[in-house]
Amino acid sequence: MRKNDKKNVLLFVFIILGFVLAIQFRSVMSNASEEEISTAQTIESLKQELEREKLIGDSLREELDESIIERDAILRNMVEERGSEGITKEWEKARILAGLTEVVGDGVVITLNDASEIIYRVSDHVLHDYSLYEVLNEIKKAEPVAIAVNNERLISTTEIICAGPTTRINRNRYAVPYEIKVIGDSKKIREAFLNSSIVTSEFIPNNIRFQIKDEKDIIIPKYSGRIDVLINAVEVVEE
Amino acid sequence: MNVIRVFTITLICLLIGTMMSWQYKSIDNNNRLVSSQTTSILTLQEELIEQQRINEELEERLKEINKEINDYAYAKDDMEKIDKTIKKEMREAQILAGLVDVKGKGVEIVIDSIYGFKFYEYDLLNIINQLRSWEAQAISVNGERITALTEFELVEGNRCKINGNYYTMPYVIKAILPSENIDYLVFMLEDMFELITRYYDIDIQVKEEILIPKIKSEGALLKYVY
Repeated sequence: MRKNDKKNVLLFVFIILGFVLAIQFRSVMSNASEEEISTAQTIESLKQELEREKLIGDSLREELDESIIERDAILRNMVEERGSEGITKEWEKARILAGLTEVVGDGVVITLNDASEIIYRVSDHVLHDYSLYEVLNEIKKAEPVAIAVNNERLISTTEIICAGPTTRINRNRYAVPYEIKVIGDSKKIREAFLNSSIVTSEFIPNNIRFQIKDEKDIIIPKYSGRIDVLINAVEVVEE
Repeated sequence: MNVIRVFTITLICLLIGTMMSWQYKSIDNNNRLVSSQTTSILTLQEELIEQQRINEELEERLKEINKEINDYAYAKDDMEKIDKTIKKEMREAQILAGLVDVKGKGVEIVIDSIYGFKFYEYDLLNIINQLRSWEAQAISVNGERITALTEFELVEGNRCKINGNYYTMPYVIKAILPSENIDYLVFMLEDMFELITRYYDIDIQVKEEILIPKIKSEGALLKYVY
């Protein structure tokens, strides 16, 4: 190698080194930039605000439940005072079947969660909306009395829809873990769930976490959303 | 001496190559971090708006119920008003429970197999869930009203158990839903069915009036009530 060639090589090497250093410097500067800090602050403040709104929502829901109980008790008393027991019974029956009353009974509690570690593709190890409604269908095969997912009562209009990292149930969003409370024959429900193809072919191979336990006196809350918006497009056909 | 120099330069070049590759990865990671932070902000903003909407609805509902409670206190002797309220409440519950026949504008989907292909539980569940996501208020499959606890179970002979009764294809799915959602639903269903039209004959029709019958056997539901 001639002296000039060596100089050229070294010059080239140092030019590249200079570039690398300049890029590195800019990258570090951009990381520590104000924009980065403000993004982190925005995320934190949004999280706090969301938490605050959720707490407000919980307390409003509680207050609403109490008011509905009070209103129903007033109506029931008025009907009973009139001696219209038949109407009260029919009303109660319809409310229970519609999921508009809280129910208590023995059954199982199933908890579902994403896999603890990702082995293949991420999507294989995440609990999807379709897995959730397949599980619910397996449970329904065991003739349950009432079902709730994360205390959201399943009624005839309940949707289970993927909404980004969460799932929308009765127009409210929930993230994993999903706690499914079921009142019914524990043995039948357990068998239906554990022997289902969703558990054997999807949950177990993909390490989706699940747990099932028998419980006594499970409380399944009533549907607490607006009812008028669930029936405003239908008209009753009078017999 | 010459060999040592060449070796040194090679080594330096290798080091620079490694550094450049690290640098590239580092920048790439930074970009991904920024992108995930942006997504996170958008998701959080979306969730926040949704939660605020829910809270507004709850507040409104609470006001309505409290107003009703106050009204009843003044209308204790107004039996006509009380009767009307109870009738309204009962009707709402009966519609939700599937205890009465209902009618309204909606869609009718007819699915039949072309070459005898099975239509799985999952496929039916998926359609029902889509209908519910577009706020279907009453649904039936082959005249069987879909309730909160309706199961779909494919059994031998390509039969599907729905509310304890067995049905085979064609499946006639009817749904009543708010008029403003019908076009979106049809678009969504057409998109969903695009891949399977080779195997099944699928017809979607919007109808001005669809009749959805009440649950066939009330006993099947009532045995659970205690």
